Amino acid sequence: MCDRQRLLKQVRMYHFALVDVGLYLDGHPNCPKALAYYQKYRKLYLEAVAAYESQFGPLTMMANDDPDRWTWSDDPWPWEMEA
Amino acid sequence: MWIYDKKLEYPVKIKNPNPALAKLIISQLGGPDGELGAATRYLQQRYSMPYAQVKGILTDIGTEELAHIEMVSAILYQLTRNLSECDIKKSGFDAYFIDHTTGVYPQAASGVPFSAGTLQVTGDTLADLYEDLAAEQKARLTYDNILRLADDPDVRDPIKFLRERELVHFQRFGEAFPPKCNGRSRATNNARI
Repeated sequence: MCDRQRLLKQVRMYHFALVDVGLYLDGHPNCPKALAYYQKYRKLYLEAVAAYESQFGPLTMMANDDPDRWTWSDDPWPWEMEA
Repeated sequence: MWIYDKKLEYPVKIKNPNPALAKLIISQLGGPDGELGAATRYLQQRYSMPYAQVKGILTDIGTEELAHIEMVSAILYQLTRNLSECDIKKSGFDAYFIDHTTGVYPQAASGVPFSAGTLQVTGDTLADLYEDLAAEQKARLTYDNILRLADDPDVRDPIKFLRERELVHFQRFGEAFPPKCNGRSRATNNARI
Protein backbone atom coordinates (compact mmCIF):
# COMPACT_ATOMS: atom_id res chain seq x y z
CA MET A 1 0.00 0.00 0.00
CA CYS A 2 1.48 3.35 -1.01
CA ASP A 3 1.90 6.24 1.38
CA ARG A 4 -1.10 8.07 -0.03
CA GLN A 5 -3.42 5.13 0.43
CA ARG A 6 -2.07 4.46 3.92
CA LEU A 7 -2.75 8.07 4.98
CA LEU A 8 -6.15 8.07 3.29
CA LYS A 9 -7.05 4.89 5.14
CA GLN A 10 -6.25 6.62 8.44
CA VAL A 11 -8.36 9.65 7.53
CA ARG A 12 -11.24 7.37 6.51
CA MET A 13 -10.92 5.25 9.67
CA TYR A 14 -10.91 8.22 12.07
CA HIS A 15 -13.64 9.97 10.10
CA PHE A 16 -15.85 6.90 10.26
CA ALA A 17 -15.25 6.63 14.02
CA LEU A 18 -16.49 10.24 14.33
CA VAL A 19 -19.51 9.69 12.05
CA ASP A 20 -20.45 6.62 14.05
CA VAL A 21 -20.02 8.09 17.53
CA GLY A 22 -21.66 11.32 16.33
CA LEU A 23 -24.82 9.40 15.47
CA TYR A 24 -24.74 7.81 18.92
CA LEU A 25 -24.21 11.19 20.58
CA ASP A 26 -27.21 12.63 18.71
CA GLY A 27 -29.34 10.32 20.83
CA HIS A 28 -27.11 10.29 23.95
CA PRO A 29 -25.70 13.82 24.16
CA ASN A 30 -24.51 13.51 27.77
CA CYS A 31 -22.79 10.11 27.63
CA PRO A 32 -19.29 10.78 29.09
CA LYS A 33 -17.78 7.66 27.52
CA ALA A 34 -18.96 8.61 24.04
CA LEU A 35 -17.87 12.23 24.53
CA ALA A 36 -14.37 11.11 25.53
CA TYR A 37 -14.24 8.77 22.53
CA TYR A 38 -15.29 11.63 20.26
CA GLN A 39 -12.58 13.94 21.64
CA LYS A 40 -9.90 11.28 21.24
CA TYR A 41 -10.77 10.49 17.63
CA ARG A 42 -11.38 14.11 16.68
CA LYS A 43 -7.75 14.88 17.51
CA LEU A 44 -6.49 11.84 15.58
CA TYR A 45 -8.75 12.76 12.66
CA LEU A 46 -7.50 16.34 12.44
CA GLU A 47 -3.88 15.11 12.59
CA ALA A 48 -4.50 12.54 9.87
CA VAL A 49 -6.20 15.13 7.62
CA ALA A 50 -3.26 17.54 8.08
CA ALA A 51 -0.75 14.77 7.28
CA TYR A 52 -2.65 13.72 4.15
CA GLU A 53 -3.33 17.20 2.81
CA SER A 54 0.25 18.44 3.31
CA GLN A 55 1.49 15.74 0.94
CA PHE A 56 -1.39 14.84 -1.36
CA GLY A 57 -3.59 17.89 -1.70
CA PRO A 58 -6.96 19.00 -0.40
CA LEU A 59 -9.69 16.64 0.82
CA THR A 60 -12.22 19.48 0.74
CA MET A 61 -12.40 22.50 -1.55
CA MET A 62 -11.74 24.88 1.35
CA ALA A 63 -8.43 23.12 2.12
CA ASN A 64 -6.74 24.10 -1.15
CA ASP A 65 -3.77 26.06 0.27
CA ASP A 66 -1.41 26.02 -2.70
CA PRO A 67 -1.11 29.72 -3.65
CA ASP A 68 0.23 28.94 -7.12
CA ARG A 69 -2.06 26.25 -8.42
CA TRP A 70 -5.65 25.02 -8.00
CA THR A 71 -5.12 21.34 -7.14
CA TRP A 72 -8.69 20.60 -6.02
CA SER A 73 -9.91 19.22 -9.34
CA ASP A 74 -6.85 17.03 -10.02
CA ASP A 75 -7.35 13.34 -10.69
CA PRO A 76 -7.92 10.83 -9.22
CA TRP A 77 -11.49 11.41 -8.02
CA PRO A 78 -12.75 9.10 -5.27
CA TRP A 79 -14.81 6.79 -7.51
CA GLU A 80 -11.81 5.92 -9.69
CA MET A 81 -9.64 2.82 -9.37
CA GLU A 82 -6.54 4.98 -8.97
CA ALA A 83 -7.96 6.71 -5.86
CA MET B 1 -18.45 11.53 0.75
CA TRP B 2 -20.22 14.56 2.13
CA ILE B 3 -20.12 16.46 5.41
CA TYR B 4 -23.07 18.59 6.49
CA ASP B 5 -22.46 22.26 7.35
CA LYS B 6 -24.92 23.58 9.90
CA LYS B 7 -25.73 26.77 7.99
CA LEU B 8 -27.68 27.89 4.94
CA GLU B 9 -25.65 29.13 1.97
CA TYR B 10 -27.65 32.39 2.10
CA PRO B 11 -30.04 33.35 4.92
CA VAL B 12 -33.80 32.75 4.77
CA LYS B 13 -35.92 34.76 7.25
CA ILE B 14 -39.54 35.17 6.15
CA LYS B 15 -41.71 37.08 8.63
CA ASN B 16 -45.12 36.49 6.99
CA PRO B 17 -46.36 32.99 6.14
CA ASN B 18 -47.92 32.71 2.68
CA PRO B 19 -49.07 29.17 1.78
CA ALA B 20 -50.35 30.26 -1.66
CA LEU B 21 -46.82 31.33 -2.58
CA ALA B 22 -45.34 28.11 -1.13
CA LYS B 23 -47.55 26.19 -3.56
CA LEU B 24 -45.72 27.91 -6.44
CA ILE B 25 -42.17 27.96 -5.08
CA ILE B 26 -42.32 24.20 -4.38
CA SER B 27 -41.55 23.69 -8.09
CA GLN B 28 -37.97 24.74 -7.39
CA LEU B 29 -37.71 21.81 -4.97
CA GLY B 30 -39.28 18.92 -6.86
CA GLY B 31 -40.45 20.34 -10.18
CA PRO B 32 -39.11 19.56 -13.67
CA ASP B 33 -36.36 22.21 -13.39
CA GLY B 34 -35.94 22.22 -9.62
CA GLU B 35 -32.92 21.91 -7.37
CA LEU B 36 -33.35 18.21 -6.50
CA GLY B 37 -33.18 17.35 -10.20
CA ALA B 38 -30.19 19.66 -10.65
CA ALA B 39 -28.17 18.07 -7.83
CA THR B 40 -29.03 14.55 -9.01
CA ARG B 41 -28.17 15.35 -12.63
CA TYR B 42 -24.72 16.85 -11.97
CA LEU B 43 -23.61 14.44 -9.28
CA GLN B 44 -24.64 11.40 -11.36
CA GLN B 45 -23.02 12.72 -14.53
CA ARG B 46 -19.60 12.72 -12.87
CA TYR B 47 -18.82 9.03 -13.31
CA SER B 48 -18.79 9.08 -17.10
CA MET B 49 -17.01 12.44 -17.32
CA PRO B 50 -13.42 11.87 -18.51
CA TYR B 51 -11.97 15.33 -17.72
CA ALA B 52 -10.62 16.13 -14.25
CA GLN B 53 -11.60 19.78 -14.42
CA VAL B 54 -15.18 18.97 -15.45
CA LYS B 55 -15.43 16.29 -12.73
CA GLY B 56 -14.54 19.12 -10.35
CA ILE B 57 -17.16 21.48 -11.80
CA LEU B 58 -19.89 18.79 -11.64
CA THR B 59 -18.91 17.90 -8.06
CA ASP B 60 -18.86 21.49 -6.86
CA ILE B 61 -22.02 22.67 -8.64
CA GLY B 62 -23.83 19.45 -7.66
CA THR B 63 -22.82 20.07 -4.05
CA GLU B 64 -24.04 23.67 -4.20
CA GLU B 65 -27.37 22.41 -5.59
CA LEU B 66 -27.75 20.28 -2.45
CA ALA B 67 -27.44 23.52 -0.47
CA HIS B 68 -30.10 25.08 -2.74
CA ILE B 69 -32.50 22.21 -2.02
CA GLU B 70 -32.10 23.19 1.63
CA MET B 71 -32.64 26.91 0.96
CA VAL B 72 -35.81 26.31 -1.09
CA SER B 73 -37.04 23.92 1.61
CA ALA B 74 -36.37 26.55 4.29
CA ILE B 75 -38.44 29.06 2.27
CA LEU B 76 -41.30 26.53 2.01
CA TYR B 77 -41.08 25.71 5.71
CA GLN B 78 -41.23 29.36 6.73
CA LEU B 79 -44.07 30.19 4.31
CA THR B 80 -46.25 27.46 5.85
CA ARG B 81 -45.78 28.23 9.55
CA ASN B 82 -48.67 28.83 11.98
CA LEU B 83 -51.52 28.25 9.52
CA SER B 84 -55.13 28.30 10.64
CA GLU B 85 -57.70 26.03 9.00
CA CYS B 86 -59.10 29.13 7.35
CA ASP B 87 -55.65 30.07 5.92
CA ILE B 88 -55.27 26.56 4.51
CA LYS B 89 -58.67 26.58 2.81
CA LYS B 90 -58.53 30.15 1.49
CA SER B 91 -54.98 29.91 0.10
CA GLY B 92 -55.62 26.80 -1.98
CA PHE B 93 -52.99 24.99 0.11
CA ASP B 94 -55.68 22.50 1.18
CA ALA B 95 -55.00 19.84 -1.49
CA TYR B 96 -51.31 19.71 -0.57
CA PHE B 97 -52.19 19.77 3.13
CA ILE B 98 -54.33 16.65 2.80
CA ASP B 99 -51.38 14.60 1.52
CA HIS B 100 -48.41 16.17 3.33
CA THR B 101 -49.75 18.43 6.13
CA THR B 102 -46.94 21.05 6.29
CA GLY B 103 -44.19 18.54 5.50
CA VAL B 104 -41.82 19.61 2.72
CA TYR B 105 -42.36 17.11 -0.10
CA PRO B 106 -40.53 17.32 -3.45
CA GLN B 107 -43.18 17.98 -6.08
CA ALA B 108 -43.93 20.42 -8.89
CA ALA B 109 -46.29 23.38 -8.53
CA SER B 110 -48.75 21.28 -10.54
CA GLY B 111 -48.68 18.60 -7.78
CA VAL B 112 -46.69 16.02 -9.79
CA PRO B 113 -44.13 14.31 -7.50
CA PHE B 114 -40.41 14.65 -8.27
CA SER B 115 -39.28 12.35 -11.06
CA ALA B 116 -35.82 11.44 -12.36
CA GLY B 117 -37.61 11.46 -15.72
CA THR B 118 -36.94 15.22 -15.73
CA LEU B 119 -33.18 14.71 -16.11
CA GLN B 120 -30.63 12.75 -18.11
CA VAL B 121 -27.28 11.08 -17.59
CA THR B 122 -26.30 10.07 -21.12
CA GLY B 123 -22.68 9.02 -20.57
CA ASP B 124 -21.79 11.36 -23.44
CA THR B 125 -19.65 14.34 -22.44
CA LEU B 126 -21.09 16.86 -24.89
CA ALA B 127 -24.72 15.76 -24.56
CA ASP B 128 -24.49 15.95 -20.75
CA LEU B 129 -22.86 19.38 -20.75
CA TYR B 130 -25.39 20.82 -23.20
CA GLU B 131 -28.18 19.45 -21.02
CA ASP B 132 -26.56 21.16 -18.02
CA LEU B 133 -26.52 24.53 -19.80
CA ALA B 134 -30.20 24.14 -20.69
CA ALA B 135 -31.02 23.05 -17.12
CA GLU B 136 -29.49 26.22 -15.67
CA GLN B 137 -31.55 28.37 -18.05
CA LYS B 138 -34.75 26.50 -17.21
CA ALA B 139 -34.12 26.92 -13.49
CA ARG B 140 -33.37 30.63 -14.10
CA LEU B 141 -36.67 31.17 -15.91
CA THR B 142 -38.57 29.37 -13.16
CA TYR B 143 -37.02 31.81 -10.66
CA ASP B 144 -37.98 34.67 -13.01
CA ASN B 145 -41.58 33.45 -12.98
CA ILE B 146 -41.54 33.22 -9.17
CA LEU B 147 -40.22 36.81 -9.00
CA ARG B 148 -43.09 37.91 -11.27
CA LEU B 149 -45.60 36.56 -8.77
CA ALA B 150 -43.91 37.19 -5.40
CA ASP B 151 -44.15 40.62 -3.71
CA ASP B 152 -42.67 39.87 -0.29
CA PRO B 153 -39.08 41.22 -0.09
CA ASP B 154 -38.23 38.52 2.50
CA VAL B 155 -39.00 35.91 -0.20
CA ARG B 156 -37.61 37.84 -3.18
CA ASP B 157 -34.19 38.32 -1.59
CA PRO B 158 -33.16 34.63 -1.28
CA ILE B 159 -34.94 33.86 -4.59
CA LYS B 160 -32.82 36.53 -6.31
CA PHE B 161 -29.70 34.98 -4.83
CA LEU B 162 -30.72 31.55 -6.16
CA ARG B 163 -31.46 33.05 -9.58
CA GLU B 164 -28.02 34.63 -9.70
CA ARG B 165 -26.42 31.29 -8.95
CA GLU B 166 -28.14 29.78 -12.00
CA LEU B 167 -26.41 32.42 -14.14
CA VAL B 168 -23.04 31.71 -12.52
CA HIS B 169 -23.45 27.96 -13.00
CA PHE B 170 -24.42 28.50 -16.65
CA GLN B 171 -21.24 30.53 -17.07
CA ARG B 172 -19.07 27.85 -15.40
CA PHE B 173 -20.58 25.05 -17.53
CA GLY B 174 -20.04 27.21 -20.61
CA GLU B 175 -16.37 27.54 -19.74
CA ALA B 176 -16.08 23.76 -19.64
CA PHE B 177 -16.34 23.81 -23.49
CA PRO B 178 -14.41 22.37 -25.14
CA PRO B 179 -13.91 19.93 -22.26
CA LYS B 180 -10.81 21.02 -20.45
CA CYS B 181 -7.74 18.83 -20.58
CA ASN B 182 -5.52 21.08 -18.49
CA GLY B 183 -5.06 20.19 -14.86
CA ARG B 184 -3.91 16.73 -13.96
CA SER B 185 -6.41 14.68 -15.89
CA ARG B 186 -6.28 11.08 -16.94
CA ALA B 187 -8.73 11.82 -19.74
CA THR B 188 -6.55 10.27 -22.40
CA ASN B 189 -6.68 6.92 -20.59
CA ASN B 190 -10.36 7.01 -19.75
CA ALA B 191 -11.91 8.44 -22.88
CA ARG B 192 -12.08 5.36 -25.04
CA ILE B 193 -15.42 6.16 -26.62
